[in-house]
Amino acid sequence: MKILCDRSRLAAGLAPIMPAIPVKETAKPAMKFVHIEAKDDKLVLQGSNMELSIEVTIDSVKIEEPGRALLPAKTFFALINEVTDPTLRIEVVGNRLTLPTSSGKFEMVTSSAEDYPDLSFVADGKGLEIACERFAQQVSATEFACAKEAARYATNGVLLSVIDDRFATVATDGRRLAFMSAKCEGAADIESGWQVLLPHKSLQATVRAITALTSGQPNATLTIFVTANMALFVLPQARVAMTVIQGVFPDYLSAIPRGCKSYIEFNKALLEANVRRTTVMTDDSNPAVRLVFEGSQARFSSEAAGLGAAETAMDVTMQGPGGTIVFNPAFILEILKVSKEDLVHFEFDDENSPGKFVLSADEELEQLYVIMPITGL
Amino acid sequence: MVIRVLAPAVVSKIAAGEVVERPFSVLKELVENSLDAGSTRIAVELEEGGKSLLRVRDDGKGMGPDDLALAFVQHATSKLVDVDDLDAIVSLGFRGEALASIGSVARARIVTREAESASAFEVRADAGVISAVKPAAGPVGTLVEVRDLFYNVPARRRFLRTASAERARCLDVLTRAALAHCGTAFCLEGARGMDLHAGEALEERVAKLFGKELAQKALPIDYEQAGMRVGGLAIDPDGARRDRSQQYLFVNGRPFQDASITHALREAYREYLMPGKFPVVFLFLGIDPARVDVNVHPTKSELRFVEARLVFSVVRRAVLAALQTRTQRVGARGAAQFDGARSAAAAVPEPVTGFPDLPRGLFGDDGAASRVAEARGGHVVPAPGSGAPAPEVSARLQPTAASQPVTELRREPNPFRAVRHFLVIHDLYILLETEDGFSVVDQHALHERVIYEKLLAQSRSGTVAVQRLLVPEVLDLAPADKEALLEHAAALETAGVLVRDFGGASIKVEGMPAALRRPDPKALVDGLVAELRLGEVPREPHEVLERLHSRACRSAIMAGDRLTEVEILALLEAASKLEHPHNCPHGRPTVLSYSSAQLERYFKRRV
Ligand SMILES: Nc1ncnc2c1ncn2[C@@H]1O[C@H](COP(=O)(O)OP(=O)(O)OP(=O)(O)O)[C@@H](O)[C@H]1O
Ligand SMILES: [Mg+2]
Repeated sequence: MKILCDRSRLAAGLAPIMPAIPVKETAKPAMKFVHIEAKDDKLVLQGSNMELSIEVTIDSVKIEEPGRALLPAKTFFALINEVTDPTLRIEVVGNRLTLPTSSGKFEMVTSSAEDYPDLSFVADGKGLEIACERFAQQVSATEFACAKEAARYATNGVLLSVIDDRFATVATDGRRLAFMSAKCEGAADIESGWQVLLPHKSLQATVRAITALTSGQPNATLTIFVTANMALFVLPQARVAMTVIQGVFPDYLSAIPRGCKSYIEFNKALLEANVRRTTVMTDDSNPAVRLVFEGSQARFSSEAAGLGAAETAMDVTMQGPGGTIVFNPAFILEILKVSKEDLVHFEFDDENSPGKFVLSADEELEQLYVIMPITGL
Repeated sequence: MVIRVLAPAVVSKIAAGEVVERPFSVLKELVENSLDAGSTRIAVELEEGGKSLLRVRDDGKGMGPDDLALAFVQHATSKLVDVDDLDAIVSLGFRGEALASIGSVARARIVTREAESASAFEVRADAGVISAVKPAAGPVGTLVEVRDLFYNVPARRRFLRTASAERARCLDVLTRAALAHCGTAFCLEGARGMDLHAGEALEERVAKLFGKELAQKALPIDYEQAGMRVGGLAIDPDGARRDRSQQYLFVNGRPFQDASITHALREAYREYLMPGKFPVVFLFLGIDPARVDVNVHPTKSELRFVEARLVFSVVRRAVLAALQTRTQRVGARGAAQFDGARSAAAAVPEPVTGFPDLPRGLFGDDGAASRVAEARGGHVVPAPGSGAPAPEVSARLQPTAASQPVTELRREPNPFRAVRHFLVIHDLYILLETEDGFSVVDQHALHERVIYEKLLAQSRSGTVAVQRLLVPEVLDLAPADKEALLEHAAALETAGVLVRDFGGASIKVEGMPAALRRPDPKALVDGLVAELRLGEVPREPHEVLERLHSRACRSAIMAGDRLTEVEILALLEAASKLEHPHNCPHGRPTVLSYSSAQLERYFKRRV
């Protein structure tokens, strides 16, 4: 294999693949490599940890001699980022890569491409087309709420679904829930009820890859294809495949409260400051902050055995009777972190019922979070 | 001294103790009789868990007036005629002892009618006094009613448990009978009862009794060898439990227990199960009655196989064969693309439970201090005279110790009070430089202990923070387990677990202690059920809490969690305040300590 390639385009093509390369030792040593194939003016890069596979195609590359090879991913990526020549001449002969540059010469041991599994990127049936930017936004706004252990339970994933003409993402760890849905033109072509449950780690990596690959192209779209055990994301220059989580996602729609008794409007920055201050007086055996709503005031308090107590207050706009509710403050803070608005709406019924934070309730975009209260205190 | 022949009434009262122990044993005898009578429907009613009333109605062949007159008479049985018969017992009853025993310790009544007979007949037994047979009204079949069990034997009456505990055991008896006799309808009146139709498949019955989820994991057992038939269902290893309570064994339709069969199951599942997990199996063994001795134990729950080793290996092979069908199934699924990912994901790390085996004499013979603690509750104790300062002294030297009352009883210092540096090994152990030497800490075990003590403190003060769940977790349980769990619902609530009845075989968990890092309701409930099943349910409320929380912690953390430096510092800080820092709530050690003196001796810096 012999190629002549623009350095920055190669680096930009490699970067999105890196999240798929396993960090720890794996059963399949080939997974530590990037598979690179030069053919028909194109360079196709592939990386995979078997759960997530990413492929990036770089076109208009000068191929002097087609071929394929396995390159140690981390080393190759570092090398391409370290050298400065605008154009690189890369040659692989046998299991040796050579890269001469203006300032010197690099040699790298490669591995036989025969050892690399055949990654299948199967597109089956009708795909859902969605704007890349919106997709990334929806995943990032919900993904943090899913359960984080290294298992593949339903709650370790983010559920992507089509509800009428909307695309929705939802994640929950059983104690809180994040939901975002938005109008999506592509949804019209898809059966309502389309859904797929994807591991949050793979999704995170995908979102990073999508963001990197489509930066500066606000109108870029991707298409999602789903088969029984795989989801495939097709982008203009890339494909991402991941295994889906098999499992039954909790019946979350019924858990979202609608039409609560009390309705509160917070200034986001003040809310965040108050929650943070009261969090100081909590510990992990008692991660609880009490919110009391009375008239136009919200009071926050916490108490930890052997540590102390905290009480703060802020002004709010409230409709309804108010009352008390106790939350794990970490859950509130995580919501505020993804909020871009200055105002946060909060609704609840009573201390035993879920509370709902609404960041956006447009026709265009609905973004809401449900937190289950802590009781017994 | 005068040797006297005991009055027959006294003899039968003594003998009754062997057959009739508690309401469930009465129920077991009555249900067996109904089954022996060829019934297609058996309906049971219990009051106060069977303590005040236990009623069994069947539609079996009934008894004529002459047989009825003998029903309550000892050693009267229609099932065993001569001694040779004892070797080939096919019916469930054969001693002719059950009704006599029951009649001698309760107020009992039988109303029975044979199909051809125009009327029913009735006989009563009150504390062993048998009435005459009288004509009565009633349908074909037999009704046996047992009231006020042990009213004439107060010593035994006192040993009866709460109504719901007794009811739970009765449910267990019915569950076993129902599993063995799918052709018969079983019905238990009342809340959390049972309604099983005649002629259901075993899978259907298992689904109704234990929930669909379990039934879906069933692999059929179907095996024949050496004139033995093995049938039933082996539940997929991922449905395994923490105890043996869901191994239902039957020989020729008779429930039984046998250590060697349990062992055979364990052997068959060995490659599929982590240590500490037990298979769930419904096993039916069909064997020539002459090859089994059932007359070993008064309650007939134990038996002896003439060829014990053969039975062991046949059962093991039968279950193995069933499990292999699973491998084929999983294999077929995994053969699709990306099978690597699947198996990698399946290899969930198991918590490390062992304690490192140190080479003997590492620190010389006198270095008894490095003695690895005894299996249970041990920790390494600096040897007297090993140069370590007296524990009380080192404790007092520590600033944190001042705020913590040092009880006189405690002989070990809290090793976490004098930490200087630490190093994490394999995301599992923390190596600490201590005031005098070093310690190796199992971060997982220590974290369990920390959470445990915090939860205990919270529940003592009556304020356990409960994190409500977004969607209540619905779990299916065996009838007796469900009963036992719900009996403790109030105690559980004060301990931070909200459990409610959800109808059928299900319960729902609505809240979990907020202190748990990863609430896993299923693991928690499984653990609790195993705990409750250990038999002796703790009576004191604080005991319930302690047991509960020791389970709660188990679901709290997993091994191999990478902790941040801040988290480790917080953990050590919390550990320095522990009441019992040396063991996790399950008795595993949390820390292994070496003194500088031991090190010096080992490296020959000091002789
Ligand atoms: N439900 C019933 N229907 C018909 N006959 C019954 C029923 N219950 C008892 N009998 C008759 O009463 C007899 C005595 O019953 P009992 O339970 O005391 O003895 P057994 O069943 O023969 O043996 P054991 O109970 O000691 O195992 C039985 O042999 C049977 O003939
Ligand atoms: Mg009997």
